[in-house]
Amino acid sequence: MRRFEIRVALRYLRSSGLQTLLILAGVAIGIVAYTFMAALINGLAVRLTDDVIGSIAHVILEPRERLPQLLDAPDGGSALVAIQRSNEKRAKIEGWRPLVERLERLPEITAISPQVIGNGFFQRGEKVLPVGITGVEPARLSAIIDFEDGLVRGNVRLGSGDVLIGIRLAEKLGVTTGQRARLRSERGRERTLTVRGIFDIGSANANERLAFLDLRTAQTLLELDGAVTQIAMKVSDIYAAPRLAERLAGDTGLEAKDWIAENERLKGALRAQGTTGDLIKVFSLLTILIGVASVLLLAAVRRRGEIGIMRSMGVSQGSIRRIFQLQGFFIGLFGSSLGALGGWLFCRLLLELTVQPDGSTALPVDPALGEYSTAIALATACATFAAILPARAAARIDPVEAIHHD
Amino acid sequence: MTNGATESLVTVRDLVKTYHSDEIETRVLKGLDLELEGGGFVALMGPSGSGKSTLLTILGTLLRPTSGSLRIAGEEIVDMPEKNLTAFRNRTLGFVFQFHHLLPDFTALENVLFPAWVAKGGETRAARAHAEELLARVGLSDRARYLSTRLSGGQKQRVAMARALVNRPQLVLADEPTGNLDRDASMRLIDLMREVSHEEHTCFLISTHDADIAARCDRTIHIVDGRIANV
Repeated sequence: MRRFEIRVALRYLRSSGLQTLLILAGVAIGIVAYTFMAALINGLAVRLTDDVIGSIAHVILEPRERLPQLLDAPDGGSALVAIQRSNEKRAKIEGWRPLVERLERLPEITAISPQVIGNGFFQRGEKVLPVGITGVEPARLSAIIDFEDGLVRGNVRLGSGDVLIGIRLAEKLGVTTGQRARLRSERGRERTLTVRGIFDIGSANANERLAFLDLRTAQTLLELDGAVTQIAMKVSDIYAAPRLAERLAGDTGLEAKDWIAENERLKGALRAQGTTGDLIKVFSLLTILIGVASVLLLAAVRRRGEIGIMRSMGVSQGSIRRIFQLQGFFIGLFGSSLGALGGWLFCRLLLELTVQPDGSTALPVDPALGEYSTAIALATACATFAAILPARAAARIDPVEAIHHD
Repeated sequence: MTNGATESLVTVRDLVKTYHSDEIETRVLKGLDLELEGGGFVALMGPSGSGKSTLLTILGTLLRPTSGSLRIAGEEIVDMPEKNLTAFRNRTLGFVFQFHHLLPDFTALENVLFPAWVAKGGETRAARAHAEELLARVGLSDRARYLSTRLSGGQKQRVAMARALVNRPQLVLADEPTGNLDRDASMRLIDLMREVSHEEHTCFLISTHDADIAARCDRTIHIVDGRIANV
């Protein structure tokens, strides 16, 4: 690349005034579409993921299911077997405290909550409603679900004999904070609990089916004798959860489940959205490619005579090619930079226009996720690529013909 | 030729150029021989279609002959690879065309500097000073920063001459350089060329139909039917 080639390319763009402005606008609009689509699809993915993972654990450690061992069939034959799961011992994690202390030291784990999970029925008068019991240590109550944020009434201080229930369960039972309801566990044990808080965590199922108790109370109701049934964790990098789960399973001998494996449908939906967004992005880039190629082809024809003169002054074919390639590069770089700025402003404007009274926005657009650098890099590469054909055409112009016919 | 001290600037031997179009063969140059000395101020005359422009284009290394040999400034041109030929053209030759052919998006000074940019890759202080000096010499210092499109015909042709000289070429080829100028402007331009030719020891080959211009040259070559009639 020689300095005069850059100078000539920039001068040609500048002197083509309106034509340059139009193609820059074309590239910029393509990039506005690209970055808006990226901000929308990525924002939607984050919102969906947040909605899903905001109230669930990213990795859960559970006791491994005990299955009887199968012996190989004799003489290499096959055997038809029916597996009878072992019901002699309850699946639980004993001696969990040292394990939790060890896990707390891992930097990738941001929150941890040893829990007791079981089932039961709430009784109040003649009403009997099924409920999922979750026993948690009071200090770690909001480790997995943000109760502070979702609390509708009461408080989140769980003491022995207290319970937190969802808003729909409270309505169905006809209770409010400070009132009492009787809970019978799947083991047949009963206890009268005081409703300490009522929450709404955005999931109808959780609001109707979950009850949170102090760990000791839950252990007693479910006859777990100091053990827990799972250790739930939140991690800093949610997409690294499968790798961490695999590692923890190997280290602890427990079964480890990650949120991605447990939410296959979310993964499918995100993938489908991503593919749609990618298609729109590809079409934006194709538009840029065709636009730049046609403008530069016209420029090569229009500047035939000048190209002939330059060749007579000793400008090589390579230089002519580079002058046109550089025009493509600059159109891509300047146009996409403008487009990236325009895309960001457009996303901000949409957010301002669709903001709701509670501060949230109707559109899941996230201006921070517009993939601006990628858009600029791809558009610049596309525009440079689009200039190859015009650049070759310009370099092939016969200087003698061009000079005599201009 | 190895005897550099006596070698002509341009040596053309048995030059033939044939054009082919729709199975019609047109032989424009028919075994032309020519020698030009360094610092010469030479007119090239001949009727239309005699081969003047073709000869200038071949001497300008923009067109390859069908056969024959061509040696300029000690270098064999006919078989020189395109890349070398481009660099050779930039450092050894200058062109002045009938229609000035300035680059419209550049100023007068930038037009003059252009061949120097090509030679050095970009602008140098020395080249800029030389270009300014050339513009002063053709009387256009006050127009240096004007876009070439804002200059008159005579001014454009003087800029074109300054441009042809900026790399201190050994040979300047001028194809009817006064064809678009009035009488006074034509004669002033030719006088300027003659002055530069003698001072810088630059050979000018000027194609013209004008006997007055030829009379101002040191030597006149007549080309008739693709051959030199007298040298």
